[in-house]
Amino acid sequence: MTIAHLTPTSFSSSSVLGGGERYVANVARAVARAATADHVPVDQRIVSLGGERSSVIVEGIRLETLPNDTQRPGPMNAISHHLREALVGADVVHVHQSLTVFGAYATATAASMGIPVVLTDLGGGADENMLAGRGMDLAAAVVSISAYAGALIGSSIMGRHEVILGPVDTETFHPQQADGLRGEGILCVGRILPHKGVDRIVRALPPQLSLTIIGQPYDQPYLDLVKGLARGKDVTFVHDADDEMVRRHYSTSALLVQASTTLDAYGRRVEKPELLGFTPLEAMACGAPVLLAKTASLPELIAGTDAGRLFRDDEELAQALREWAQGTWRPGLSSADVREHVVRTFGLEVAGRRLLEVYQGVLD
Amino acid sequence: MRILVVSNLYPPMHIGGYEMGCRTLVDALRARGHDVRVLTSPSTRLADQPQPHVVRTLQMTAHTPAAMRARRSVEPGATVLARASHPTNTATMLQHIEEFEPHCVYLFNVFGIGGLALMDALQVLDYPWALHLMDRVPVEVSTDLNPDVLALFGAHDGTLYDGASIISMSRRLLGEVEQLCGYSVAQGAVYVPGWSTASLELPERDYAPAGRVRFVAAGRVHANKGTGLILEAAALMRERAGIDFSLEIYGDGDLPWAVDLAHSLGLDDLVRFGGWRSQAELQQIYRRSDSFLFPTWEREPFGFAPVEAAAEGCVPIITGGAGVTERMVDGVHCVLIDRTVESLADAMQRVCGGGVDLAAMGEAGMMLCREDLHLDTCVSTVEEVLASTAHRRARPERLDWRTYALMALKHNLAQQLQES
Repeated sequence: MTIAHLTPTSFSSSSVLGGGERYVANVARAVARAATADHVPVDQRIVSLGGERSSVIVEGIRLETLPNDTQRPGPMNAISHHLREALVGADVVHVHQSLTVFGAYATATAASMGIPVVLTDLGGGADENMLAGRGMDLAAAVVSISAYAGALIGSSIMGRHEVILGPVDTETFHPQQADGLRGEGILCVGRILPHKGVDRIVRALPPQLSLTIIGQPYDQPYLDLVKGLARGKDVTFVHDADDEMVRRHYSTSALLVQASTTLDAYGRRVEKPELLGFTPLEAMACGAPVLLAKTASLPELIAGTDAGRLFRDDEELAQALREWAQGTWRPGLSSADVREHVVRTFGLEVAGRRLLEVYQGVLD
Repeated sequence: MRILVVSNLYPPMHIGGYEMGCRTLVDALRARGHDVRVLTSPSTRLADQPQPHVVRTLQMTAHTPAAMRARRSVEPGATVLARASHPTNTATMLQHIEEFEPHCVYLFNVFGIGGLALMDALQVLDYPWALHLMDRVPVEVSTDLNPDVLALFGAHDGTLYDGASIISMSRRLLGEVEQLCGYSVAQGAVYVPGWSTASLELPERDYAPAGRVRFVAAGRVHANKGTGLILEAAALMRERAGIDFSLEIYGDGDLPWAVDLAHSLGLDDLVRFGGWRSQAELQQIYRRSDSFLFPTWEREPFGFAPVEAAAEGCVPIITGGAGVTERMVDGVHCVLIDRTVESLADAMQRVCGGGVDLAAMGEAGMMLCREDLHLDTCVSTVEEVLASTAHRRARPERLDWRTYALMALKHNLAQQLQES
């Protein structure tokens, strides 16, 4: 079975770095892992747009880059006039970022070639051609990355619909002995954007706690706002962390906080703020407990476990951090159990096997 | 065979030879026992006979007087509807495929009815289909469209036509399409020229009685067709003393311009404008005329009129390079000219001066038009193409609703991409 993953942006330093890009790479690895374990012959390629035409094989997966041929600005509008050529031989096409112009174009192209299409919404848009225009009807299956993400598009799905949280790269993200002991500082990881609610964490930070904020700044005025709020507090900003550095922070920080919000610091409503919180999942894979906003998909990440705590608003966030500083709140699970929760529920092999079932199902 | 014909216009509604040719082929195929259904747009003219096999439910969004004057659709949305995708027309064609279950879909001019999507739908279905080119349709349906829209339908690199059987009136026409579109039609084409419908018996006729050569022209009166050249060449001939000839011009078009031009050239007593004539009337006119003037533009895909004239022994004078010259040989069936006043006047002068053996050339033309260029021969070739097309591909047993959904998505996307 040959699976082509289509994504407007690739997971590389020259492209956009976000959960969406990380997700596609994880999916391919997870499927490869499950296929190997179950002796299913699978050939995969990830086709991304926006660079010079290239083709390389990494870990057995072909990464093909096609030029973005359109004049329309923005990666989610990316279109390749050579997409058909890249899809020749594919048995299944998985279109990521499906609710964008890119997604609609890719869906139309694959469906025109008679190739079953699996769609996943990773954010990036709410394309009317796919929703109100019923383009999603063309999907042989829809994979939602959380129940929350699935609920947003449930009314547009006619056929098979699977909610598969993850996959999380639990091989890259795991604690190592050399990391040393877990410290007292708390951690916030993610692109520094208003909908991530970083300002909320800084505001709520009690004087006893230190906070490290890791993430690339994509919005300078917002970064300035957050830095202004951090003045006089023990806050460190890191903008150039690589995966290994992030992993070490996950493994040595006391707590990861994610405060994504539907109402940002400027009073603007945010749609689909967190379809799947990759950062908390990766942190938990490294054994870190989490403090998460009751926003979008975040509650699903610790549902049924005591790997962390949820907060409803700024007051509850501040209260939780105060209790953490005073030592009156600690999660019930040990670091090892927190990691086990992620491996068992969102890990590569578990999610990969479920994705493989979806691909096999659409061929049946 | 059951054949579904799709054409933007169909007589009595027509502009030129494309639509008339479509009807002639439909009638001939029906006469040979094929079950033909024609899907086209409404007519504002009354048919002379009932047309129960013609379904006029397609919506035509071009060829309005304003659009023709502008030579393009101005609104982005209108451009998409005319050239790329008209969702109602696409769905209508799919419904007729479902209901009529044709062995083959046979397309003619699909400009103005969202032609790209019609062809793309057939391609997506892997349905047996043929495209009969009597003009550069692939160019017309691609003009003014955003490259993203072209790629959406596979019209940027010609993959749209991969599954089609292509019939072209001439190599010249296909070459022009390939040059302007920038790709080659990989599967090539079968060439079916313009034809004559004359009876196989050769008519008896004479040439230049009393030494006076009778020139005639027929077709759309328009600068592209060379009406101005004809009038200016006639004026030049008049300047050359001792040359006796007459000139009759038949057809609709830009008559006020042509009449004014003739008047300004002092040709009122020499030229007669006869207006539109039926095919039967034109046959009689050709039979009593000596030479047919056809100084059309070089990109003429073929040209039915010189064939019809030659079938009656009326010797054509034709612009070199026009599609019909792939079949008619200079000095054997016709006289070829450069498309200039001087060249046309020189050829006319040679005819008047006896430098052209009108009787021999006329007979050769009449023979050609009763063999290679006869309708029977052309219909047989078309029949073979359609039959092999129908056999080459297995028709889908039933249409999937997804085809409708896919074409709707492509239409919506095309509108969005064209407008941005």
